[in-house]
Amino acid sequence: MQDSRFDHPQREKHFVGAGMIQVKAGNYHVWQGFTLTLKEEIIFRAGNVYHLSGPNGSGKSSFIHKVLWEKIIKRDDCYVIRIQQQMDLQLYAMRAWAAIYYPKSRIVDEKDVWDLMWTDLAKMKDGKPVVVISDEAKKLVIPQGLKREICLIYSSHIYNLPESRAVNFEPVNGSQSMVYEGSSSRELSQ
Amino acid sequence: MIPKALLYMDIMHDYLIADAEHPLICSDKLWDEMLLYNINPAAADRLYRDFRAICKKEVSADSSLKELSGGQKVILMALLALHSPADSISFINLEHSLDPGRFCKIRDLIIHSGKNILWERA
Repeated sequence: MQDSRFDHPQREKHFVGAGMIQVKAGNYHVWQGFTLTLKEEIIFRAGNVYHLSGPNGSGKSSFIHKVLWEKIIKRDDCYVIRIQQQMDLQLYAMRAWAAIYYPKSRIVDEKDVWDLMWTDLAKMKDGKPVVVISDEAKKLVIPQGLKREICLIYSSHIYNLPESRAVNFEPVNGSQSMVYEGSSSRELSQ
Repeated sequence: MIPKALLYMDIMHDYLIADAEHPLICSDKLWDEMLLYNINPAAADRLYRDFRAICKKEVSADSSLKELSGGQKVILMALLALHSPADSISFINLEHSLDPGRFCKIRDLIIHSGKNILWERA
């Protein structure tokens, strides 16, 4: 008899390993009238850093929200830290959460959120990798000496971490962008 | 006629704050946001034109603000401030959410606006 614990209908098998996210080639209709097209599959692997690079309105945030997030939200083989763009509402949510679990903490800005996330993660002793998704963060706070693998995926117009693999978003027209991996960030290298 | 209460407030010398971390106040139609900025019909037309030139995207009073990307919201905030009657504007972290090309375009508009501008980084 099949063990139902391993046949959860809502748990999709998107991944190819712990802390990895596989995004297959194809068209992703992320919102009405806008499509992201991947000609080739992209695999986000633990231990690597990915820079989502492209002009405003090219679909970086939509890719995070509609593609990556939907693939990772049901996963239990990794932890996820996501810092949203223009995160004022997220700040309120974090303050409410911190008031319960870390009542002595003080959440003022984005850096405090990062610090609290890493503090909370340090309590987990299971060694699972962590996927960090940051959308236009003002500060990227990644602690040194973390005893777990990180898959860092960030979009930014001001940061270009030297070890980043670029994932480029190139608008074709107002309703479509091409998404592909590249060796370097085109936008910031210009 | 200016309400008496306003005479006691130093509003004429205050800066309109345009913070890229909180670009828009309303979440429904552009019309609502234009009301807050006191944008008149002629200024609205200039705003639509500038937004189209910078973002290659059409907007109107009926446009849903939810359909804009984060960077487009920041550009819209800057244009709303520029086309509002405010003489003094404080832009905070404006370059943070914009790609280099669009930041240069909006910066040029700001510089040539003839308004009293403060550039701030939080």
